[in-house]
Amino acid sequence: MSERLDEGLTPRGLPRAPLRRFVLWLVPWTALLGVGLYAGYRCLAYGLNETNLDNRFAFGLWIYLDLTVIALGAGAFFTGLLLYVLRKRELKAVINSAVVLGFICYSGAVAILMIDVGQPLRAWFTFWHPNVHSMLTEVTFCLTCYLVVLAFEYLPIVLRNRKLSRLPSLLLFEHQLHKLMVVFALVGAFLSFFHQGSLGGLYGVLQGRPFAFREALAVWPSTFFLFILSAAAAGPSFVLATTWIASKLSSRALVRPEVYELLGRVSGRLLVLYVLLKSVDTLVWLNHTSPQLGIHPARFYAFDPFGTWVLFAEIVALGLLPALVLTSARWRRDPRFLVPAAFLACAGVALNRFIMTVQTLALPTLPFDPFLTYLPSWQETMSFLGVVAYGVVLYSLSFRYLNLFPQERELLASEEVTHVPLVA
Amino acid sequence: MTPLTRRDVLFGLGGGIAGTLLSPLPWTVLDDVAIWTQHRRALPIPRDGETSVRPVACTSCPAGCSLRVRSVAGRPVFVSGEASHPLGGGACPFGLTLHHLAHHPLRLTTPVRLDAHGTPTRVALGAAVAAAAGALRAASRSGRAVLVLDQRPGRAVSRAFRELLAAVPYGLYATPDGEGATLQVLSGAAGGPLGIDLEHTRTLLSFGAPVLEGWGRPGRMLALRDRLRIVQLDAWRSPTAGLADEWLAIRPGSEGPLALALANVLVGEGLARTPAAELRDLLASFPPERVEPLAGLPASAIETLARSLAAQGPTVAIGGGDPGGGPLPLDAERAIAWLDVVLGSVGRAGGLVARGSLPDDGTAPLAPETSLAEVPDGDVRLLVIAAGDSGRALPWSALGRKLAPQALVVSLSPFRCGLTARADLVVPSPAPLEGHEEILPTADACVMSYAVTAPLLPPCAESVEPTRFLAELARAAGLGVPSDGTHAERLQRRAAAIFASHRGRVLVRGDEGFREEAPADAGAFWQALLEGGCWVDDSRAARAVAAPALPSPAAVAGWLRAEPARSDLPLVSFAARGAAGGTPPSPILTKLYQETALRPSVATIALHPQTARERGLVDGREMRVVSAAGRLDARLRCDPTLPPGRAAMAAGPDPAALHEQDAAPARGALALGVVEPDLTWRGTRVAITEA
Amino acid sequence: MKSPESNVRARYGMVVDLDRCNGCGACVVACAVENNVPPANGRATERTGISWLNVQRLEGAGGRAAFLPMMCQQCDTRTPCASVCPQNAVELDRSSGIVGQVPVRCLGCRYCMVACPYHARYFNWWDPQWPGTIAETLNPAVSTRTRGVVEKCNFCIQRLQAARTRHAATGGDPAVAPDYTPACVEACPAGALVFGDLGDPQSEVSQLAQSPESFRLLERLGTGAKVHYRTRRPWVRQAVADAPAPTDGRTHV
Repeated sequence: MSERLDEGLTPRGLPRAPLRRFVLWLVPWTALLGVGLYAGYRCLAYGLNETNLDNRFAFGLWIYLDLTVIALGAGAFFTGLLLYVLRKRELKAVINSAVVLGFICYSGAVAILMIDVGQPLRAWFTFWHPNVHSMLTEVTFCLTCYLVVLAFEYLPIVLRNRKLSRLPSLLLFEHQLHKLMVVFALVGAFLSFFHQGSLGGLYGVLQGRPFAFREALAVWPSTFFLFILSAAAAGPSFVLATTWIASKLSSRALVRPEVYELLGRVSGRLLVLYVLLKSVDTLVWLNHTSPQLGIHPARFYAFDPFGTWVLFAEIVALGLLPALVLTSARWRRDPRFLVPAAFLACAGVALNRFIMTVQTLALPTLPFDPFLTYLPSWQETMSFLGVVAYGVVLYSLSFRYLNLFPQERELLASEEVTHVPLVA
Repeated sequence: MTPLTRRDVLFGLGGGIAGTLLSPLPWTVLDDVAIWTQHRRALPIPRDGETSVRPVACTSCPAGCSLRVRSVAGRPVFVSGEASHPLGGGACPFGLTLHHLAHHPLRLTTPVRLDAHGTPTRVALGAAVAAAAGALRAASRSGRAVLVLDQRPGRAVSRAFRELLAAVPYGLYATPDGEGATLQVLSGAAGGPLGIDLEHTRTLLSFGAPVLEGWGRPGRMLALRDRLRIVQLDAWRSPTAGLADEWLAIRPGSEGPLALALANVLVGEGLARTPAAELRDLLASFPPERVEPLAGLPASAIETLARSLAAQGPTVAIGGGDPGGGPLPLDAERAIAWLDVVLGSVGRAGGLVARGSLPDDGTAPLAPETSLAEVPDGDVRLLVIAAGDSGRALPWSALGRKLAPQALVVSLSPFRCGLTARADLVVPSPAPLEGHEEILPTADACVMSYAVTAPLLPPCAESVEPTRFLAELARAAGLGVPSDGTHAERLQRRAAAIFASHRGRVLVRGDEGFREEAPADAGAFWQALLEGGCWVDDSRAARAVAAPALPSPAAVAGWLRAEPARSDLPLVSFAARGAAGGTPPSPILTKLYQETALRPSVATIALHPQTARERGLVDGREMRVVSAAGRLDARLRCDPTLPPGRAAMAAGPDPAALHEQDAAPARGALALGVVEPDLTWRGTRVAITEA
Repeated sequence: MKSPESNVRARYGMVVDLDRCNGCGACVVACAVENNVPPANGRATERTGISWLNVQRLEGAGGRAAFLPMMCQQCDTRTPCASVCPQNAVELDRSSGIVGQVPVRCLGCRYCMVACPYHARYFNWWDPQWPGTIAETLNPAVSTRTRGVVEKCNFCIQRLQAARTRHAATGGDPAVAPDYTPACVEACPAGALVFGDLGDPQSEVSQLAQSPESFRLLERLGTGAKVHYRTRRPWVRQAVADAPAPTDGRTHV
């Protein structure tokens, strides 16, 4: 293999694509990131009239996608919990990748939130005048704290880079951080538990929106618990899916099949539990909660395109189906079933967040309200795609220069290397 | 000295951060950040001061509703109506924003010349007067006319115009048709003005007049609403139609035949209170069955309506058109007037009663009042548009056709809006709240009254009272018209004449409300008026009523002629009073016309969903609307309350008045209106295709 | 914002007579004038404009129309917006019952707008601009808002403060809630709006609110709204109080 310009920065002994090809891979994503930054700049400079949000659709694409990436990024805390607290050693193979993904998801979500609010410079007001009754206060606190925790979890991975780990002080610092990983994992799990739940609680407490409102256990509506459970179920599937994508793009096995199977099994079992509880919750909501608020449940599904097929899609097609595949040992062993099932599980969580955000706002509340539609503007779409681009760039850099997958080396040794990686 | 180690740097950094957090610096910065966010784009901070409340009267339209203006530090900040005013209270959104008008972007503070695009350039008053005088002299030389268009006749300044015009060889004083057109037809026969004794009316049959929204003195209608039965005959579901006791959807342009059909039923069934021998032949041509296809109403409905008018009398039928759709044709008004005669409502309680006039306060000869439609086309060399808004639309083409080549158009309105936007010169009068103005009764009032509103604000240095402009014009043109003092002096003289007539009663405003009081002298009377009092006449001259003119044979023939089937659609234009006139609405009225769906804007055109489907047009899309007079784009708004087979479009407000834009293209129904020789545009037809 | 007379427990409320409202819009305009609400940006629509008070048109048979003025319903027992604001920028003032909005503290997250079932809250999507010199007519008793914050009707609380000042200055009984009139009530030419202390059984508003013709919107949500509506027409009541689902989901304008 010929010498690469950045040979000294990549992990020793692991093949990486030529620098030129890597830069070419990054170029379109960087361009997309640039467009996203411009879209965000427009919203900050000219105001939120650059979006298609309005007084009825106060939440739109951004909030929906924020909730989705936070749910998927739960893979970070959950994998950490499984590894450091429940001692599932196989997950050492993916914990670094999960942490990087989590960091990307949370930092991207916070960046979008800063554009979404009307006065970003007042973001610190929530910390200064917190409202203890509001779910959003809880979300703000836990989200920012968890982002700090993720940064601390990401830092050791960065510090183990070949060049950086030559500095003894940094090596020492990284070693100390690593000893604290259990603490970080526990704190992260605690914070995640609460903010994933509070994001569900955001909708469940809305007694003015019978479509979203749910019965409560103490101060926490059922959506609190359902959001935690769905995030915990989707997290491992997301880690599985992204590992598979990374594996395909780098044309090599990055983890042993047992890791995929473990992730799939955990995700599947949680998904089964989630589907069960969600079905019970839906029945209670349709037959008891909503009628009590004066709304006949048929009204929720009387408007195109939100017919009852949406409920079926969320709970059965994107819930029960992947759950059944992921809990079956036979199907789990076959990547042709395992990987699509993982994608479906992620899609199911995305659909759930979409329904809670967009369908809630589209439905009329007053008797003379119309049913409303909303399509995001290019500024909204592009700023979000900019975050995706940021994620791809950061993950690509992390994959290339950091040892994200510890099993990569031993899997490589047991294989014939016939070709150079496609991308990274 | 020991070399600096990394540890030193790290400790120093950490200590510095901790120390900074303990200092006031970051917290002050955060505080400042919070304050910056409150003053992002130099938000205006209004000055505080002493609060005072003053009564004024609204001058936006002839209703002259009494208002209370709250001022802070001498600046008006809030306006409300006065429900307890003896002449009727209440204020509409235009009146409630009266204090914005002096600050409107379209307000002119100095005389200007307008170019072809309507862009103003400042000129000196002397130059403007000289140009007008030159045009006046040219008119006299060439036998062309000098025309003054006065949309608020009857004022003291109206008299000044007529005095000037009497001194000119060919001077014309024209007033456009207004709310009282039906009454005017009957007034001619009655030998004096008539009003409607609404307080004793049982049924009000309105041929498209917007009696429940911006008509007459709104406070009066509100007070009488529960006692009146209102039957609205309207081509669209106007706000009045939606609130009336009964709305009958009629085809546009069928007011005349329908009035005759109703009279036919009344006469035929012996329900007519007044014998109408002259009508008999005419009515024979308009039985309900004949009128059914013309009006779009079943014959049975016409008969039922006619019977109910007779059974639930006293009944008054009125036309008068509406502010956006314009006047009804004169012959339609004549038919409606005859319906009133047949109903026996002329000259009786609960019907149309004679009203007194204000005493004359001068002896100079006056040019007679003409209808604008009677002014010959192409005859006018100098057109003066008097200040004073009727609140009703008048398309420019109605005036433009009267102009001779090289005519000069001078407007005295302070707003670059409506007709004034097409003038050559503007000599702006004081804006609302800046000058004295008279409050005369509306067309429907059955008692004469007089009130004055005193200025609340100092006038702009270069705004010009119309009487001063007329005096200077007369001097520059060498006309021997005696200068009769300032505007305020003229009003004071008029008040003195009223006082000297020893008629009526004076209602003086006190702290607890109004009380009747006899002022000691004319000066005290004038003072009482300035402080918000009013004079109400009590004499009703008894008058014999002759028969009004019959609808012309040509019109009758036109009504009876079968209409060929056409693919284009009749256009119903509408506007609230004040929305399409010469006074721009305050930009705040975007609340009604843009930020809520309460009033349709000029950017939309309405069709019944079935009518749209038949033409393959989709709701919400941009449409190209074409008439014989113009074309424009508008968004389609499917409205199931609009009867099928017609289109409806707002004639105002002009978006340029609501948003600061220069020279915006003409929008709305007025740009499409095809103005007939009789200056109506109700016969406009449009073709609608997808843009 | 703590009020001086915190011992008084007034519950200011309103009764709207739907049979008298004629949809003239005077209340809408008076509210905007009193509270320094800016005119719309050229691109604003019904869904992005600001009108703290807006009038809905209700359609009946035969082309009949009724009009319903909608403003913040000043929810009492379970205020949906107050409990969800992360920065306590919404406060239910116990001494007057008014749900106040603090624009200088608002972050613009719009969670309160999602929570409100009455759509009574409005966001400043643009920087406010007053054309010409109309800013000279702004009311100094009300602060102007920047873009990016939420605002809503607050029963003209500045007029309540002025009334309390007058009440105290003239030696009024501190235990008595002073009378005052919001801008919309003052402006209505038809007398369709009645305002006062719902907690005072002698007040006109209290007696009207308890009559059988009066009702509240979305009663079953249990928000404790302090705005009551009344009508003697069955079709109007049916169109407004807990009606069945619309067939095509679109309002008619």
